Amino acid sequence: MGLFKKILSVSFKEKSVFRFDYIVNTLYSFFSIVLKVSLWKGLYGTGGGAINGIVLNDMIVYSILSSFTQGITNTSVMNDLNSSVLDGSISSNLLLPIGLKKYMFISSVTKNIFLTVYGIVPSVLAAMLFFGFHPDIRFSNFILYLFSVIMGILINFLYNFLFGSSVIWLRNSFFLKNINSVLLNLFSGALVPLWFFPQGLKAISDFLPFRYIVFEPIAILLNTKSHEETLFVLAMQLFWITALFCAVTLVWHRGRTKIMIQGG
Amino acid sequence: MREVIWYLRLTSVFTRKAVKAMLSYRFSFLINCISQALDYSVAFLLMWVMISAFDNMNGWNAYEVMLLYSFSLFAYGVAGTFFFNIMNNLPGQIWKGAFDDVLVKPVKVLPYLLSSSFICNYIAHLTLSAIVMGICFHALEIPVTFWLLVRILWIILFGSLIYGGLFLIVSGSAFLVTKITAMFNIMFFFREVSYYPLSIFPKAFQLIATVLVPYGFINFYPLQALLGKSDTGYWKSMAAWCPVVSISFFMISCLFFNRSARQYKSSGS
Repeated sequence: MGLFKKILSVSFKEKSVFRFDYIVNTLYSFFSIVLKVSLWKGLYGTGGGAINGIVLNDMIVYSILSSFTQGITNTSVMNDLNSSVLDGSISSNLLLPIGLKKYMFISSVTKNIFLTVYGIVPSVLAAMLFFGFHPDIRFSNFILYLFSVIMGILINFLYNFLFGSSVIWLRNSFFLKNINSVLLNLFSGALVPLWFFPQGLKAISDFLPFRYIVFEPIAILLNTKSHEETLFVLAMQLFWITALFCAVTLVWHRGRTKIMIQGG
Repeated sequence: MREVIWYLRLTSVFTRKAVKAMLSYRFSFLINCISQALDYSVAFLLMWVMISAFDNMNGWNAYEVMLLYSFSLFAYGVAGTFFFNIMNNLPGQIWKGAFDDVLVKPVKVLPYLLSSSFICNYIAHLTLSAIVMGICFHALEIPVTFWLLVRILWIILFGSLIYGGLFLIVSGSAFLVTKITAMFNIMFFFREVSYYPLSIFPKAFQLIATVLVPYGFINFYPLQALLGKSDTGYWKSMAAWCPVVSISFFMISCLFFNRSARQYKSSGS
């Protein structure tokens, strides 16, 4: 815990050097929420009737919550891993007296706490005031949401780490970034919730971990699920964490000896 | 005139070099292109899913909105081919002081950067958006005639000029501030705005995208005229202004770039 605090404070100091950049980024994330909400307003039109049982206000709430959830579950570990393998700086990280996975997880989480506090929370609050936030949230759902989001963070981290590890063999990181954004954009529900998906796509998403990162936690928070369904989601998240953790351990065990360090 | 020909010859030398570099990493290049095309295809797919679940987006149906997207993407691809590398490399050159190399060459800064920055990486964007355009015109039952093709090229030409100007503004600001990530993000944010009908956004956004940074003229206003839409209250028939707006915007951007380049202080050792 002490180590975590130390890394957190260093991370805050490091990032606050570029204050102007972060102010503009806050503005940027606020604009992104405005963009999402405008899209739904444009789609619902002036009539505003329910589509698939969902009204415009639900979508405004969903857009704001998804920006928050997407922000907090986000991780740059794949990029970090890629660049540290390609430029050789991973060699010094491997020498740290703490496992690489653990180190990267802590630095990813601290980075995100910073971004959430400075960038996402202000823009989400502004959006709440701006659009009038009328959610129907129960306390018990909120607690379940927190659990689910923490598991979402773990799933996203592990999957990104697993994908990122492939750079050891492939030595090309550009296409990974694209494939990653394909999968996340499509299946995480960050822009379009799975409620609006055609059957085929929905069926595919059942077999992938991505819906458990953004969509399912919000669905739990918005009380759209019965007790059994909520339990099922949490169990599935646990399953994915275990599966991904095993895969990461296996891949990393093999890859560790294969890393080719270039550069000094 | 002789100068122009000289820079064109320089461009062809650098372009040949860029193509050769691309061909020596053929497989890697191909994978990058495919993954990029896949990324944008998913964006198209999501757009289609979203709009099809409803009926239309403020009077624009799924194919019409996809047409907006593909025009914006195509113009971005054309501009990116010539300008992206300037934006990508300049901040690094400035930090390291490597921009000195450009200044000591017997060339003008902007024409030199333009002729040396050609990249082939936008083939995926261009191919994909051309395919989507074809699909959309077919679905909307608009016959593709010679005149339509001329009109499409006309729209794309001025759209690319606007995107080129934006690239130059972001690149030029690298001389003034140390980090351009924020500028870059704002530019990409408005690029995303341009994928959808401008009329769905708050009035402030519409004003910015019409007057301040003319994103609206890249695709929205010209396509509004092409498809016969009339969904913005107080700005009608803006399409005719496209050439004027885009050429003057591009010229202002060049001016801005040259002005800020004068602020360059070598920071390397």
